[in-house]
Amino acid sequence: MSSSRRRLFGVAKLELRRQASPGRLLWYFLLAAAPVTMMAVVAWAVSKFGHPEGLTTAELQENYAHFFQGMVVRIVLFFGCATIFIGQIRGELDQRSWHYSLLTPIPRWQLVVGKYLAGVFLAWCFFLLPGVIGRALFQLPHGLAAFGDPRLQMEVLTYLGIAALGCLAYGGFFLAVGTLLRGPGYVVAVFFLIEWAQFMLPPGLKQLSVVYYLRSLSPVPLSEGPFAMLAEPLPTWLVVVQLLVYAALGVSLAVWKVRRAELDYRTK
Amino acid sequence: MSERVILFEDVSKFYGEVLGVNRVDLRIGPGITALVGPNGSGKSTVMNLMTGLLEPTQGSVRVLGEEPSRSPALFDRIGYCAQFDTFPRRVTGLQFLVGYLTLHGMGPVEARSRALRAIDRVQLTEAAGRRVAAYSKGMRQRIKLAQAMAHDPQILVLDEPLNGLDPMARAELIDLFRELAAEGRHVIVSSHILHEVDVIADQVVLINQGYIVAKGDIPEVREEMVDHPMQVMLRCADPALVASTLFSHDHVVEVKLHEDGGGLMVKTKQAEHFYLLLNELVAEGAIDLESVAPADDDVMAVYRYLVGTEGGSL
Ligand SMILES: Nc1ncnc2c1ncn2[C@@H]1O[C@H](COP(=O)(O)OP(=O)(O)OP(=O)(O)O)[C@@H](O)[C@H]1O
Ligand SMILES: [Mg+2]
Repeated sequence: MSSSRRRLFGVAKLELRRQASPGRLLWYFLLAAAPVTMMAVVAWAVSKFGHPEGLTTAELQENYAHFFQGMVVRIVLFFGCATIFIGQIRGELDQRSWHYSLLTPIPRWQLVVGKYLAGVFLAWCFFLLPGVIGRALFQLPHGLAAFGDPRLQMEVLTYLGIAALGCLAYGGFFLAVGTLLRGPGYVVAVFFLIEWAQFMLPPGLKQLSVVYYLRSLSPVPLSEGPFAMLAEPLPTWLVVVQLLVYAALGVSLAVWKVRRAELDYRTK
Repeated sequence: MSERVILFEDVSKFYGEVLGVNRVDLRIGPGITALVGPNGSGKSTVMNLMTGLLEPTQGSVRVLGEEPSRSPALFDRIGYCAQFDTFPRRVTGLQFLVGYLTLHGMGPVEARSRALRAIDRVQLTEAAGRRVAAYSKGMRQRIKLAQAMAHDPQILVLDEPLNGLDPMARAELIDLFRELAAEGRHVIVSSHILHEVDVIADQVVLINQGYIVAKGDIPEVREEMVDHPMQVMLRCADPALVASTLFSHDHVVEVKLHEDGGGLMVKTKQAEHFYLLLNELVAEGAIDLESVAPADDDVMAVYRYLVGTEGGSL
């Protein structure tokens, strides 16, 4: 391995070890388990009591799409990534261990990028699968044979992709927030509201919301509700690019701050 | 030549309105340099500037010819044992060192052997596998030191490395500093007790309230301190008469009468002489003294503090 790749790898490895406290791992696990548990309960209830009306596949798909956008994206990905990525540089500052990294021969931008990549890896380990497993459980009482249908396979793959992109974008956002702000709590709260209310926001503001992009990637069209401010639907490739740019902007902001910042461990 | 030294040219550092250090000129070569000053005098500020954790508000800092805040590669040649008594969470002593050594581009095998060697030099081998969180204060100081020198840097910047150590451990570390200096390294050690470091230092830099008040080898520092005018406040019955008596002596450079007519401020270049003179005059009954007190902003007072009670031999 080349020396610079080894360094980047070293940064990521140290970050993973830092993040791997039993308490944090338990929290990530509980978050990831929440949607799976909920879907398991639904599957159990449906198979036990039967569904009152008997849903068509299309209805099943739409119901799950709403659950995915609400529970998986806005709760699991949101809070999972908030914990991981705010804990990166802000966490080192709070623990007063950041100077050890600054005193190594690694350019500061590489420190930030290495940490971000470690965060993405961790987030993917925990948060890629819950949405997919949830979908399978939701289907269970209606027969898994439906997964032979390529359209359903595509749907599952799309959920995987949305979760992956969601981690990248939330990661960039929360990394920047944790790096730029001493007390990021209120920003997280406001952002949480934005994520739930993004459909009411004017188009310019919508672009701040990660949910806004992820929704338009949904494998099943989602109705926006009566209060929605409609924006032009965009082609998928463009949305993916936008999400990548969104993530890159967050990381760049963090890099910008870390490069010009002087060490200061005072809390307020 | 500038490739071999740490160079501060007219360096000032302000934290917003707060003065960190002011107009510092320094030239530090290989060997041991002691940076001595009381709490809040600016020692850590100087060291943070040296290691690029801070940038000067004004002036320039060059370490081995490079600007520390702009040259990451320099950190293969600098080791900094900072004042913070904090560590990454949940690491053992060995993991702590190995982790950061990999950031110097070393593979796991080399990192491990280097870490063990450094840990051995600070005599922590037995505790290497234990968590740093369970170390005593003295052990934490030593593992920090080991971390600073594990990558074999040319320059070692050590902020109060002797703090919190018992006399045995101090003596051992002082021997280690000597060894490191004998290997041709720059070893910069800060302390707030002069006699703790003056015996080993090739150069002493005294710092007070953000200003360098004296620097050089020990005789030079003594001379500078002796030459430094010192202010003494006298309360007495007839200040004008006392003033004229005192002023006839060479080492008294300035005398100011106090507004209330009950005292005067004397500036002298030789404190020892001045006090002797005062004693004589009082014994002769020439003057009627109520009180004698060094003025507050007196650099000499700081010096006495730094020298400590038993440090008068300097
Ligand atoms: N981050 C900061 N923000 C504001 N002021 C600071 C900061 N760091 C240091 N100072 C101030 O700068 C001055 C010098 O501080 P510094 O820490 O360099 O002193 P020191 O000699 O290392 O003291 P000590 O012996 O207590 O470690 C002090 O007045 C201190 O309050
Ligand atoms: Mg200090």
